[in-house]
Amino acid sequence: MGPVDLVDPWTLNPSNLRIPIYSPFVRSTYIRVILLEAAIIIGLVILGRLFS
Amino acid sequence: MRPLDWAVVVLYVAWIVYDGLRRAKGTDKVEGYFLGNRSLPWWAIGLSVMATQMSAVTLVGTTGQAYLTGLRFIQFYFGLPLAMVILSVTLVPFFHRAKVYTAYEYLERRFDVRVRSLASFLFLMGRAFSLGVTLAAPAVVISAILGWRLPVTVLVICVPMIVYTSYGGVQAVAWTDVKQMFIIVLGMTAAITVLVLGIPRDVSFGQALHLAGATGRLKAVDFQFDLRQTYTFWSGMIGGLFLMLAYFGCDQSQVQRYLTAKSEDEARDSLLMSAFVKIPLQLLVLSTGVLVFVFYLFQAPPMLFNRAYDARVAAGPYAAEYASLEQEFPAVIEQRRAAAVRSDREAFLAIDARVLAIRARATDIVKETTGDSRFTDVNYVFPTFITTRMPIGLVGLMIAAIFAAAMSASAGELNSLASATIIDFYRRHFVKDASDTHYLNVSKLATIGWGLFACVVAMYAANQGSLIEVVNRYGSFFYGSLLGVFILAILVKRATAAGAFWGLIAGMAVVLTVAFSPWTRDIAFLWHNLIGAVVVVIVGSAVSAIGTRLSADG
Repeated sequence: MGPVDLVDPWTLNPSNLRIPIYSPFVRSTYIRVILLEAAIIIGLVILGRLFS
Repeated sequence: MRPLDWAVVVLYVAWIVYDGLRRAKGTDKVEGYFLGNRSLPWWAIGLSVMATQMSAVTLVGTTGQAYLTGLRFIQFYFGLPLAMVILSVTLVPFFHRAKVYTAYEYLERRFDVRVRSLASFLFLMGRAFSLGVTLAAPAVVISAILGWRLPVTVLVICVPMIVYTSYGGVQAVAWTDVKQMFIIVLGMTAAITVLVLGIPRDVSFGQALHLAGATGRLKAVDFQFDLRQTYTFWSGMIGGLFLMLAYFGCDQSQVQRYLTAKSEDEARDSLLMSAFVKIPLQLLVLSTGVLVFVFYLFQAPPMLFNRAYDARVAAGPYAAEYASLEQEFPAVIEQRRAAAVRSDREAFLAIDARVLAIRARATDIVKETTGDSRFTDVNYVFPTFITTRMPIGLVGLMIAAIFAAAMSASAGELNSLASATIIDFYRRHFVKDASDTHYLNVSKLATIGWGLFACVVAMYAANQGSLIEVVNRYGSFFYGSLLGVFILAILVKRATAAGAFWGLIAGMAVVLTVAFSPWTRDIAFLWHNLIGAVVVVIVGSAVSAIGTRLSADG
């Protein structure tokens, strides 16, 4: 991941966002975070139903 | 506590202070003292951040809460992973590239010094008082366990922590946090092992879980949308998301940690560590509480875990009724145990309801006798288990873990209070051109000063239940509003300094009104963060637009 080219140094704009979001490594990391959370929530719901 | 347990605790405290002092190397400049020369690895920062959140209140209070109500508190953290992802993409690159010492320095570059100073001042006020409470809560419990006087306990926690934090700066804080985190996880793992081994051989683990589930303790997720319910899926996902965004994005005690990272990527990774590990870690703590409940189904629990008022109750007007409840309680517990062993669900639930009724009446008697309307034994459940049921040596380890949690949660906050004081006020407004050595020395003095202030607040707060509530609510007044200012700064290009300043004040005023108005005060505090942030963005944008228009017309 290279440095972000800040058009305006102190506000966010699409060119700032593009690199972190679309970098394959970062994108896959973020997706993993969301998937893990979804798996935990689904697991907790199943646990609650299974042992109610 | 046996001599071996005392030895474990004393060795732990001595080791942490020694380790903190030895980490002082490289902190001979302000950047080293507050930012560790921006050289820390992501995993150390990640563990340090989690150690700061894993306070003794979390360790003791959350297990007690899970003992009484189960896993539902986990919903509080549902917004955290998403918040980490959002911050990794948005605020982290800004802070890192701006080379700032505090989060509020960025606000001066984007707006003006007035917004920076107001934001930093709000942080200082909220954090200083909450640091006192963070210290007070475990001090009360540790005092009860060890039979120490409260000021002694506060000093035993505070003095070593102030020594290594003031001397070693953020590096001492981060590296001792890492070790304290290991002690906490080790202690919890030991407790879980003892709890599982405490289940009788003729009862399977699955059967034990069914018993916990029958009482609703394994129902962790509640999809009901009710603004008055503190912990639901929605309050955690939406209100919790805003709270976590504010806490990790705008609170100097967290921002300072990822400013110590070697690079922007390492700063991101440290946050993502929380995103991956925080919920499982919290589940570990909550599961411990549920397992304590299961344990006490088969081993006799005390009627009330907090015995602080026993003597007063025995001399009070309800002494006879209380004694009769105490006489009935063991028999009821034995009936519940028998029903649990033969897996008779209906009988188990009926007798469990009687156990709850006896405990509720005993609690009411304590309240009526002492006048302490906030009496509860939540925080005493886990410590009682530790001191009465854990083997020699492990008791010392668990008490060391509670000390570790109390110190690690407070040390980072202390260092961040000093950084905001010196960087945002002393160096910005009062002494602008002194040498680095001068700023380093006053930073150390500021750390000691805030540490002593926190000790005084802790000693006072411990006896003031209402103050603790006020301080907790105060946190949510400024968190949402602070987040609103940062959203305004980053996302609203046309936002002006005047807009940010008045937006911040309006946000806090609205949250204050919502919190205390008779029509809206039932709204759970997690939603205050959302309300504050939205009001700041709307008012800030409106004031900015009006101001820009007026100056264009003028």
